[in-house]
Amino acid sequence: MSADLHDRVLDATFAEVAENGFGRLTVEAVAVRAGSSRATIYRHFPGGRDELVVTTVRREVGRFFLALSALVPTDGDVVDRVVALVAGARSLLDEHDVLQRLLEDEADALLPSLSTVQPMIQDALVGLLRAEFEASDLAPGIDADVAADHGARMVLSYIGTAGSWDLDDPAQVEAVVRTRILAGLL
Amino acid sequence: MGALLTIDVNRAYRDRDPLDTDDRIRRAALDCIARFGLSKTTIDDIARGSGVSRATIYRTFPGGREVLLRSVIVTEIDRFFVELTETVGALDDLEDLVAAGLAASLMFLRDHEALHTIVQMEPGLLLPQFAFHRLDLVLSHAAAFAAPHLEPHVGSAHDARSGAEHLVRIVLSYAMHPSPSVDPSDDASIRRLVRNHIIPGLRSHETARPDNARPEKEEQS
Repeated sequence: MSADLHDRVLDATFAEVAENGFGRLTVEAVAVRAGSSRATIYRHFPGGRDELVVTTVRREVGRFFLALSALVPTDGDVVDRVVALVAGARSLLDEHDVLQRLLEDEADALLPSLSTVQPMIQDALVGLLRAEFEASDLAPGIDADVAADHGARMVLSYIGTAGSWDLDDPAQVEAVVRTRILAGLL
Repeated sequence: MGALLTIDVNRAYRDRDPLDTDDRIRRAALDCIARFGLSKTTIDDIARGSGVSRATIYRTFPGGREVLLRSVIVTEIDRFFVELTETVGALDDLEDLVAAGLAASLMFLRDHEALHTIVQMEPGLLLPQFAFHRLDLVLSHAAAFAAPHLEPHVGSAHDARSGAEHLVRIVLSYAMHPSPSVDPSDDASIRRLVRNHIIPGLRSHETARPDNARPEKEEQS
């Protein structure tokens, strides 16, 4: 499958889900929208519908992290940059209309797909944090890998669910970063 | 094959300790969930597994399957918090408390077969409750349990609540996605995490919130 057709199929899957949700997603509809055929799609996505969904989710997650990296400034200290990371991730999630609607209407179908790409999400965050930590002066005895793994988990938890915090308030984002995500590191 | 296993488990359980009928039924139901998942567990399976007749099951759980399954879930959640209370109740050092609570929570979840079956076979039933805004409910419920244990160590009710919520997030993260560097059966690995990455944040009392964001701030001076 050419890169072009591959993208077109994923674009079509995304558009179908955006318009009709997971419940009514069929390979047939994706084929029609992409100007391809069911046979071609099955040849390249043997897992059919499920594989289309996971591959599309994976691509969306990749785009999310690309957009997120662009929101993190290159200057400032590690606290500033992790604050920008958390605030940026929250606003990207808020502004993602398709994600928000699926969470509202079809969380039971969405969450298992997101869960299968969790390692990719975790790795992307670990990568961002490890780069920060390696460039910083960590407290003695802190292992940058363990810190990045734990920090990524906490970033993920807070950007997904604010809990008792108001994370639209920059002062509270900074408090979460200092006392929860980077606790003990600096 | 599977049914034989259930009977044995229940006989062993009966021999050890006579169970009330409702406990026996719940026990068998939990066993069925571990094998078939929640949606595929039927009253017939539970009757076979518990050695209790269908009629008795309906008499014990008026409303039938839904009511019984709900009761199983509530009982398991209770059991989680009861065991956790027994583990941390007498500990008065913050590091001991957090380490023991984390280890016990993670091991309970790690060893819960029915939970694993649901996560594997029916992720759509469970995962949505543990992500994004629906997680708020779980966080606040579980944080309400943990906060009183933290309060003597962190200064204010507000910081205890927020710290407790943080611990719940940690449990959920490591339970759902175990890390090779954090082994709940290994005290040293849990303590390393607690000492290096958790306690310093819990102890830094002033979480730098603007006062107007602290509705439950205590009045005392």
